Amino acid sequence: MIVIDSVSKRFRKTVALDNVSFEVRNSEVVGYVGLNGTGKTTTIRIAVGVLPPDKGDVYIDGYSVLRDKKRASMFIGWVPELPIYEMDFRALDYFVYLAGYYGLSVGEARELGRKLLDEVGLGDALNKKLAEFSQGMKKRFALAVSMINNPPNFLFDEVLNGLDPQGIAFFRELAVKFRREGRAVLFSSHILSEVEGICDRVVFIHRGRIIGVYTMDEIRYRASPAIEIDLSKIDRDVFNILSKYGEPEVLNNNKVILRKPRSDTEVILSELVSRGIGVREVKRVEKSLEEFFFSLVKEAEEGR
Amino acid sequence: MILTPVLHDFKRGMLRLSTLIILALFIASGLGLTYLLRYQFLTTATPLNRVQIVSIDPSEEKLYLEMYVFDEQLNKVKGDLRFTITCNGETVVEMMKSIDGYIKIVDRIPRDTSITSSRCSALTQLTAPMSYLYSYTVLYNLSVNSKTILYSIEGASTTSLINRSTNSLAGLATLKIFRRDAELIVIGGIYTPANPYAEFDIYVKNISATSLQTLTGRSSGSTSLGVGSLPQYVSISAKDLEKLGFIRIGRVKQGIFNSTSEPNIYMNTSYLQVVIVSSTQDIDIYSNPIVISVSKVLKEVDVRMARILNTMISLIGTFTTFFPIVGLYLAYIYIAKPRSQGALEFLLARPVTRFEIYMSRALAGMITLVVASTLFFISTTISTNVMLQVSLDINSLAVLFLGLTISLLAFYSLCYFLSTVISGGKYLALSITIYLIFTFIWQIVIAIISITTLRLQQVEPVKIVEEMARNQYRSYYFNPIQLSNFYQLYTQKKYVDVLPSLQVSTVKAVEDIVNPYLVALTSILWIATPLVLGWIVFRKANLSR
Ligand SMILES: Nc1ncnc2c1ncn2[C@@H]1O[C@H](COP(=O)(O)OP(=O)(O)OP(=O)(O)O)[C@@H](O)[C@H]1O
Ligand SMILES: [Mg+2]
Repeated sequence: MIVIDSVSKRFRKTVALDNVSFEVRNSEVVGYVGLNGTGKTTTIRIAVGVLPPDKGDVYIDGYSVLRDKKRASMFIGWVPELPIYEMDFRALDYFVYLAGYYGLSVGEARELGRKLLDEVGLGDALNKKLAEFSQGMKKRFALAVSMINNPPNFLFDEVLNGLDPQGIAFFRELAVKFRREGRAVLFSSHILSEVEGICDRVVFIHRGRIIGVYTMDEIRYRASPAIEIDLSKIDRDVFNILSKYGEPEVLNNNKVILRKPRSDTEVILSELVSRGIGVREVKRVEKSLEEFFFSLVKEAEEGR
Repeated sequence: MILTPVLHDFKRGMLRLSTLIILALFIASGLGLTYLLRYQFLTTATPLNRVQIVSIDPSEEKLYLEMYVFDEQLNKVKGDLRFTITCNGETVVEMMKSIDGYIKIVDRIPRDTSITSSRCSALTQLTAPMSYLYSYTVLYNLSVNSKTILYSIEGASTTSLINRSTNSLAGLATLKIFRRDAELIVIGGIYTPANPYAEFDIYVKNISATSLQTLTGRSSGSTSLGVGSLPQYVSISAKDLEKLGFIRIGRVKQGIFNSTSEPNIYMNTSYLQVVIVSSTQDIDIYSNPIVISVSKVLKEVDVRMARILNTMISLIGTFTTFFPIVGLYLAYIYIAKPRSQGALEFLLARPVTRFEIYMSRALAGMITLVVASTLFFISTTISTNVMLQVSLDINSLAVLFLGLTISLLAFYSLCYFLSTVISGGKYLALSITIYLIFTFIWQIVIAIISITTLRLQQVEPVKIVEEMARNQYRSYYFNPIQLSNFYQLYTQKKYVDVLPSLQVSTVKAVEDIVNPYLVALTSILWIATPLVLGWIVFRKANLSR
């Protein structure tokens, strides 16, 4: 379980984070969605203890990242957005080196390194220099390292960025597997649809502030069900009826789009039909995940 | 838990090609220099201690030659000896003999017409007593303990040519007094042709105790004599001499003598006043007091020690000059470089604190430097032990090692601090500049400043050298790399007896500037302060790129 507790951080004049609080429970994959430069990476850096916050704290399974950093680090794994290593090391050697910080002996670390690097798909690159690693390989390496201690919490910072389809599938499946195993996973992205399939909840951040926390179901409900209805006629009555169920918008002579429908399609249809309005076609519009996200952003901007 | 990463970091610092190559170079040059020194020890002559009486009796055409040759340790010197007498630059007598520390020749002068020239005939001319035309030369080709080969050419002297036929003066050949542990060793020669059976007592007096003592006697007019001859018929009793503070240290027969005694009270003086008194009542002669400097009998080890010490110091000096580059580089790979890349961030996400990362890498570098300097030091010490069969005492070795290590650590610490302030290429540029200043530019600048200020203050030229040395040592407190000079000085002071005089005067001149407590404190501060400052910076540093 990861608890971000009232974290603030500023870089000189830029306020990167402003009183950010949320949590990632066990057996849960939480999406962390925001536009570029809104503070996702900063939050994650603070959460893994590599960047001291100006205010607030982060608790990893109850251990404060500030006051009990070593223990907190034992319980969290991190795949950075752009992992950087001491590049003149060879992969396995650096793995063994880092494993030393977890108290593993060289022998143990080598054995574990072979196993984990193989698991993340780097079995062929054990003796390759890290400088020669591609972006995807570096991410896989970070994953292998973060699994040294088999921690119950993970932070994935835009892991899907720059990965091939295979890599994307790998990390998605991994997140799902981690949830099944009862771990807490924070999955940051600037594209909501990217995390849609794997997240239970999504935390939205904009300009260093949390602008909403929704379950995925809620988001789907709030975002997707725009209903496009092709009617025999459109008049004031029809518009009034539809207004009871959502926010209708006339597209052309016969077509109406109903945003934010508050009832099931069947209920709306039966009402229309019972009033003798001919319904020729009903279509759900599915592309509005990002629209939902943008509307949140817009609201936040307007609310300022 | 943090130990494994420290060992890893140490390993990659130590087993780095650049570290190993530089270390290997130094170990090799240590071996090379030691070998060179061994070669020198085997081939170079040590100064000889020689006492000789040479006299020629023209009436009987006889040569009397008695000679002792010792090395610095007063061992007998063996070898071949060529003795020549020249007249106006032409050789008139030539003899070859082998010598075993001592030689006595009483022989007819070999007659050789071929060496008779128009101006000097061996026979005719030699009958003219004490002729200033004549000189003799002794050439040696000698060895000690069949180990060291010595060759030395002794210059000419006419005054030792004593005409035996003039039944007058007694000759006193070179008198030398040595101090060895608790004894005085007196080597010299007295020769009185008039009475070959006379015996003499040697009296000495510490010259620093009172002023030079002049004795007066019956023929006081002719008493001012130096080494080389003795006055006649001046009498003084043994009691009178003792009243004046002289101590009898031995009785010798005439000829070359070698006497030992134990007048402990004079052990620490460097000059003695000596009086030689005939113990034969009827002749009753004595020498007016002669001032003799007392030199220390050097143990063989001592002589070599000075050279070993100087070789080690120059080796260590080179090591402390160049090896800091390794420390500079270590700070680069441990902090400056990964920091500029942003690689320390990933490291910090491990179960480790910032302080541990900071300290573990500092420690790894320090261990690397200590191990490297230990390897260098041990190899040098072992090679001197094996190749030269002598070694500095353990304390001196420890202090030299300490100084070497402290210099390296202090400079590393400084570099480590710099690596927290600036990273990457900028770090390299700055630290290399600082390195060059501390190693090569420093002493030059101090020298220039010293000379100009001392000139302005119109300090005597003789003092300028000393004052410059003092300024250099004062400045070393402000230079981490030069700190090792203080530690070297400790050892030099310990072996001051065997050092060349130029070095001795420097050692003496700077003695009061080098306060051991201040040196210890400065060493600690130089190591600790940059580390602490570095931590203050690193504690809050942004490790992300
Ligand atoms: N080390 C830093 N120094 C100064 N400003 C920084 C630093 N790191 C981040 N920032 C600023 O803080 C804000 C948040 O940056 P952050 O990297 O957390 O954004 P992000 O949400 O991860 O963006 P992206 O989606 O592009 O990765 C940005 O305005 C950024 O410019
Ligand atoms: Mg980011």
